[in-house]
Amino acid sequence: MSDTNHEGGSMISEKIVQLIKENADTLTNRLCKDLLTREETKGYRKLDKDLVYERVYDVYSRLDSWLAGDKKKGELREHYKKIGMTRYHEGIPLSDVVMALMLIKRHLWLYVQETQFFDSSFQLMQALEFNNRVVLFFDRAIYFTCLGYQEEEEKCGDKSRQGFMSRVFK
Amino acid sequence: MIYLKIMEVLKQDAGILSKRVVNDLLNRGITEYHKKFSEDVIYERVYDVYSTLNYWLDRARPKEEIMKHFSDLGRKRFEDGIPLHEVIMFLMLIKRHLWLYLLEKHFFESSYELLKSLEMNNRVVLFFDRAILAASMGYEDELMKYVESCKEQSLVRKFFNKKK
Repeated sequence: MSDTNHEGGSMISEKIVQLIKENADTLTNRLCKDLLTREETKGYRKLDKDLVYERVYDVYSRLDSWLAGDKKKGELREHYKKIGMTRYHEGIPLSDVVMALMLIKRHLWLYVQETQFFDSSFQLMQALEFNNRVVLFFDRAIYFTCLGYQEEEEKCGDKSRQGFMSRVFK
Repeated sequence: MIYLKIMEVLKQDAGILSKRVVNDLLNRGITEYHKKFSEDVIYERVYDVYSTLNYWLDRARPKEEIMKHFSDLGRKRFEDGIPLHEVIMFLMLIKRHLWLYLLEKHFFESSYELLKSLEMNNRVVLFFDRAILAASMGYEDELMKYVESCKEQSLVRKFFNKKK
């Protein structure tokens, strides 16, 4: 494989990251529309629309630094655990929170597919690798959000709920 | 073509893949509740997902069937006393190891295969997203039922205490 192909390939990943950053607003608007009309995420309807927008925008606009590996895994853990704790206090069901993160990932990839064209094997390989980096990032985000949510539930939940949670988290 | 090749791998190597997942799952500090179960039980649970993946990935499979199956899985894990974040990790590791295995086997070579694998990858990711979501919903549903029954029991107790 020639150097030119390699350059083109590595540019794919950078191009996608740049695309997400520059179009965070478009992506956020699409996602908010989907999130606030779906039955599986109806818990978000009780929040102010602007607040939902801000939060989704925050995920998209930070994605470049998370994906670039600028931040440590510990930072990701703390950031998403905190998100889980906040969602618990807002009374949003955990499955709604999980679905919201999945939708952020799905809309991102749909947007990439809509706007990008990969024409060489190397570009396709890079796109595939990038896709998996995104999937892994969201897997971690979902896992830590869930962990933060459940820990907060254990700490603050009502007594009957605590009874079960302490049975689980003994 | 890629789809059929992956289905063949799942048919032939579901055992190898399951062993890898069990090993990973039981050696992670973050999956301690799974350690309450024997390795054989965990193996069976992982194997069950891999060996039925071809069934679930069939485009003709209705979404509702996937949701029902994995929602029941979430309910069962609640009964087992496994925290939801471990249930989610269980499903994520199954997806992750499948991908690592395919990469290891140099599955995708030509541009066409790579393009198809990108599509296939998204199909697998979407399936696991649905499975995780359904398991979370089933788990939460069972948790709510448990909370309600605790409240009812507490009310009954209060009622009888008053009568005494």
